[in-house]
Amino acid sequence: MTDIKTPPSNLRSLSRFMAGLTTIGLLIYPLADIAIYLRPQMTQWMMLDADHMGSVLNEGVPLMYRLYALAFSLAGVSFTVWALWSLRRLFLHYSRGEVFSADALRLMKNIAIAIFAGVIVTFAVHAPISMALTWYLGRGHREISLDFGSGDVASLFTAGVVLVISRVMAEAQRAADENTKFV
Amino acid sequence: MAIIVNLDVMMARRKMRSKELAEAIDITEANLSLLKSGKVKGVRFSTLERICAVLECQPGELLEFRPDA
Repeated sequence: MTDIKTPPSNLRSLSRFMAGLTTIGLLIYPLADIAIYLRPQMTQWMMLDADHMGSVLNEGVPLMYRLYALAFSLAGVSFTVWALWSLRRLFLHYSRGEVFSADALRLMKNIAIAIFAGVIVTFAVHAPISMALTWYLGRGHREISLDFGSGDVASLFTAGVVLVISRVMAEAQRAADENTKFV
Repeated sequence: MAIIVNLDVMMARRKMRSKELAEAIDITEANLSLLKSGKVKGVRFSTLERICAVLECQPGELLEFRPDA
């Protein structure tokens, strides 16, 4: 394992700040998702890029169907939470100067996998969510929608970039380890 | 290990202690000890050059190839 014994103070403070920010996101993200389904009218402003869901998701949808939709939605959210949790731990490693530790590299890989899986699962659960939210409308009014936008493509690219960076860092760690065995 | 490091032999011939050599070639005593016992993966040319300069010897006198039995 190759670490920075005394991490630069800006790296330490920035990593701590990002870890704190990630912790806030970790708490807010699932709670916001739950709130959107339980109190749709009150949380309308939060549905930034889910306009079509906004029209479907309202207080008129019986709570039971909203809970079904929420259960599907949480499947996608769980991957985002996993990514944020891994990101938080990664920043804590960085704040301790453990930049090239095996755990830090594993966490980077986890983040990439979580982002990638999150996009796929979110896409997959969109159909059952829209079905659950319109089921009570009866025949002829129910709908199934699919959603895959430029944001999802960007997330997939991000996942790819993070994965490649984690491989590059693993290679850097190997080179650094080898260097320490030379005198 | 097929490569044998004869640094301790050369140091004994020159009557030089580990501490003195480590200071002269600018590496730690711990690393010098690892080098003497052959527990390193490699030696940098720059280190080898400094050892040869201080001990007034050739690289061939420090390193020896002995095929594994």
